[in-house]
Amino acid sequence: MTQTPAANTRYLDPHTLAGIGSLELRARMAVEGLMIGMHRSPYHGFSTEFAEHRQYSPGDDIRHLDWKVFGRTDKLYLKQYQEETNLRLIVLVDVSGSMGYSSQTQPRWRKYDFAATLAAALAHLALKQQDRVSVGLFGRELLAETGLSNAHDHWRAIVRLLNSVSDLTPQSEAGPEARATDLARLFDQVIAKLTHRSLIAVISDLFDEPAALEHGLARLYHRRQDTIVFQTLDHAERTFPFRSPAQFIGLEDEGRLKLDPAALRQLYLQTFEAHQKKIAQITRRFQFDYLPLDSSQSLGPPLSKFLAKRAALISRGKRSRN
Amino acid sequence: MGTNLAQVSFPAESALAWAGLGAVAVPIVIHLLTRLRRQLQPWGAMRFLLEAYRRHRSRLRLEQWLLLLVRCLVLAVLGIALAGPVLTGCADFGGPANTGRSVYIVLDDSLSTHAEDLNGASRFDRLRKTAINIVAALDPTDRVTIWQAARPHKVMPSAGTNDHLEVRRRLEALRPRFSRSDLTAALESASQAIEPPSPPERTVVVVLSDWATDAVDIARPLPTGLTALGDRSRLFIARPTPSADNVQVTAIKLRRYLLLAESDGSAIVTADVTLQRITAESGPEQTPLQLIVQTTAGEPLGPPIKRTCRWAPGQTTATLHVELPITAEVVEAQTATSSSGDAMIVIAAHIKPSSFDDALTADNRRWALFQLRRQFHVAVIDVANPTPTDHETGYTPRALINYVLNPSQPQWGPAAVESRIKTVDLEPARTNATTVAPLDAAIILRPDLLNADSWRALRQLTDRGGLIWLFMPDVATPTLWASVLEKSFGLDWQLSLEPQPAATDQGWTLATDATAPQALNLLTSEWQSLLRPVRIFQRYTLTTSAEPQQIWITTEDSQPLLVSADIGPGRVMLLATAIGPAWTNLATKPLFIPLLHESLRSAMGTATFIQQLNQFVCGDQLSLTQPWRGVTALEINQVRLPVQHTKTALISVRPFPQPGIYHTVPSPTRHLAVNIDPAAGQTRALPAPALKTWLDQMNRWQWLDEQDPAGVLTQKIHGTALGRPLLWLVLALVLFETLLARRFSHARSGAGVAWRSRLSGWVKG
Repeated sequence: MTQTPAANTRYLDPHTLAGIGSLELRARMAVEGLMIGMHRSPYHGFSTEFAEHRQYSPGDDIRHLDWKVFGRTDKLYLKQYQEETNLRLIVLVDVSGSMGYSSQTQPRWRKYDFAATLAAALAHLALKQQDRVSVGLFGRELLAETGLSNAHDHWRAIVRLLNSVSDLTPQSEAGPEARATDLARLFDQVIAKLTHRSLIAVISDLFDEPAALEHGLARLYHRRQDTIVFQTLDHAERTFPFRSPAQFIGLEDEGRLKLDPAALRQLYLQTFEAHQKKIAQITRRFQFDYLPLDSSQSLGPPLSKFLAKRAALISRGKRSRN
Repeated sequence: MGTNLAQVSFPAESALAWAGLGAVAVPIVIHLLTRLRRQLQPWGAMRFLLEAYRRHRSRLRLEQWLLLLVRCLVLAVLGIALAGPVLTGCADFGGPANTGRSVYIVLDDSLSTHAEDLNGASRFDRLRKTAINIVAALDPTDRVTIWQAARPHKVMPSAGTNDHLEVRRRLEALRPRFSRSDLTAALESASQAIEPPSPPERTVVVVLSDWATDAVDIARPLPTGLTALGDRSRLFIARPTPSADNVQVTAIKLRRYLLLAESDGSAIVTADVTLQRITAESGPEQTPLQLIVQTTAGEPLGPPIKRTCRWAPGQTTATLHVELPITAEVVEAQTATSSSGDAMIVIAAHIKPSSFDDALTADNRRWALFQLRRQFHVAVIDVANPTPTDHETGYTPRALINYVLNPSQPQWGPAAVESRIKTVDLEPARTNATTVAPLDAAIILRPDLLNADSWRALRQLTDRGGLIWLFMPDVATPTLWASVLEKSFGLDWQLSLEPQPAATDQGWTLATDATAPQALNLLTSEWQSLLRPVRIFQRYTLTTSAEPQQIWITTEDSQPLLVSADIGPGRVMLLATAIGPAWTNLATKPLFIPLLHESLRSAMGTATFIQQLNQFVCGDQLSLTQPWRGVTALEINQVRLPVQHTKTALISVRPFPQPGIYHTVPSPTRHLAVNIDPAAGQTRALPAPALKTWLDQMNRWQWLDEQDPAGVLTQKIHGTALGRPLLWLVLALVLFETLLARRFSHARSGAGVAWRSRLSGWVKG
């Protein structure tokens, strides 16, 4: 069955995804739509290390032919990457209170919903290429995680974990450790568990001190761990569209604030933009990938563009830090 | 009293100013309400909001307070602007506000202000007290002028003076007059007196009137000179006084103003007295009236006659017919002192204000003058030895006339007909000013023999109120004299040159379908029967364009036979036939005697010159065409009124100050009656809505606060109108508020951003 680009876009549209109750189905649709849109497998996109050559057999992708060897030996060999065989993908999803925000009320589409869909989609992609995947949830600390596995039914465990988070409001049963974000502490915990080089995908709104992020990323960098930072933001958080006087209630126990939002809008946006710039600077300094995502926008185009760009960089060898 | 401080006042719409100030609370309340009703907004990126808030908390608060202040200011200034404030007392007026003003007081001192209230105080007392209070409150630098609004209006001496003590003294000595109000003219005069450069803020006009019905004619449009009075000054109007009951004698109309004594020497005065009832509510049910005949000095000439007028519901006027006898002794006594045998007598009517509510007593009296005569002097003008026309009796026409006028001869007429008419024979050639002077009437049998001097003398007789009766001469000469008659008296009577005989021996009968002429109204009941036996055998054809009432008798073919014309105060009559059996049988018929007597008595009794002496009312100036030589003044109750002689009239230098019988000075031989104008006695107030509409034509005005009349001076003077500048200020504030709101909310329109982006791109190339 042939899918048209319009249909692909519809699959990845947040309104469409929000209307689907099942995260599993939602993630599958996201991945399918993503792959159809890319016209090539993003499989290699996660590879980072060249491992060995293997002889070409018909049906192999000729993009990985080693033309230098062919020039010297007149034989066809394919370059094989180490991570193609033993890639470890660790997806960390922020479940702090701020991830429960949604400016979209009908249907409600929280930042967490967007992040969970993204996490499930990434996991699904990795599992499809037999990579080992682990998904963890964090707030002030790592709260829960799945084991690292590439088993066939591991994806269901991942989806179950992501589904286990339903209420992120201050009234939820989650403790104070789940309300706020502490990236420094999170990365400490994650690094402590790492035994091999891994690809770490952090999905968060990054509403924490930039210094904490910087601290955590620095440690990952020194451990030579590759990291991708996905920042999920709500459209309202980027534009602050409020006009009427309102009482703002912090979702991470920051308290309440009565104000005329129109009067503070410019100052808010300045503060917010400064924060975003700082995040971008930090990730750029450590040469980590950083992708800010708007939860009200379609997931597919920016993600596929990002994966394609990453694959291109890897193919040119620019991703290697060795 | 005065203040030098600049102040803002709200002359009329202070409620709006208060409303505007109250509206200041609106943005505050809205602000508080919005604080109470803030929408709850869960927010994830709270850290950025808090950080922005903490960094700019003080600035935000300042902005909010500034916005609130500007919004409150917009509403407050708008309310004040709509209230039409005026800035007073500032240096623009060239000095202190309540000093150096021109104050004009128009005080109504007309007859209606005599009316008293239940406390016994008159309306005038109240108005005068108000005027005195205002004058007492004046600043020493203020100038005051007072108009008295009774007719004729006048300015009180020492106009425009700063001597307020003298003005007060004059006001305290002032008494109301007896004339009707002339308020409109007084206001016009006051309006003209306002000097053009005088600023309205420094000009105060106060109108003190009871606003009785006679005050102004509200049916007529306001004179153009008054239409802008309210804009040229601060105009204060006293409130109308409530209506009051009043009864007045409005007229005494005598049947004869020149009364000839009866044959027994007595006389009867016949009069119609008219009363008017002015009611505020129900009014009196009956009015007792007393009439008396008295001398010009006020001595009664007989007992008074009392009558009672019973008023029907809703009735406002009533006429009582009265006859007052004068005994022969009184007639003799009164006429004996005069060489001409006459005397001026007064009939006085007086309402007794005892049993009803009568707010105004000054109009309860009225006087009427009439002349009582012992004898009339009549000349029969004929040739010395006329030819008898009745050959059987040998009587001449002159003898017939003499007998008819003085039928003491036993062979003529009933003995009851009095013989108070003294006849003299006069030849046409001797008819001149000297011989005519003592006459009351002239019966002319030979007009064809009169010369120019005779006609001039006869004209003088009519100018004195005398009667001239012309008969056609029994001669065969053409009527060439008719043109002289027409010219001498300005008549339009054309007579044929030759007589016209009747077609049959029976002659013409007289038309009996007409009623008796007004002058012969005593004959009305027998008029047809008196006319019926009369026959006319010859007549002159008389053509005239005169009014029908001047044609007293016509023949059966509608040809005028007896015509009459009033010439000045006198009368001219012409019979278009001659006395004699060949012309008519009139002299032998019953009509002739009463016709001659009543014509004479009515002509005398109409006495226009005497009626003229009764026509004056208080407030009028004397203007008399009587040749009262040597008269220097008129006098009443030791009040002397100087007079001046002009070519055509006698005029007084001042109007009549009070009602009553005036006599001449130095010789008190002549009199005139001055009464009160009935319109002046109107004690009913003008309808308030109609009065307000009338006053509104003067633009701005205010009712006078009678509890504090001096408040007209202590109130702040109108100054610069601030309404329009304040509205501009509101507009500027609204604009300022919009800019502030946009700046504080940091709102940027899409168009603005796009424009800046394009500009930036263009600069960068």
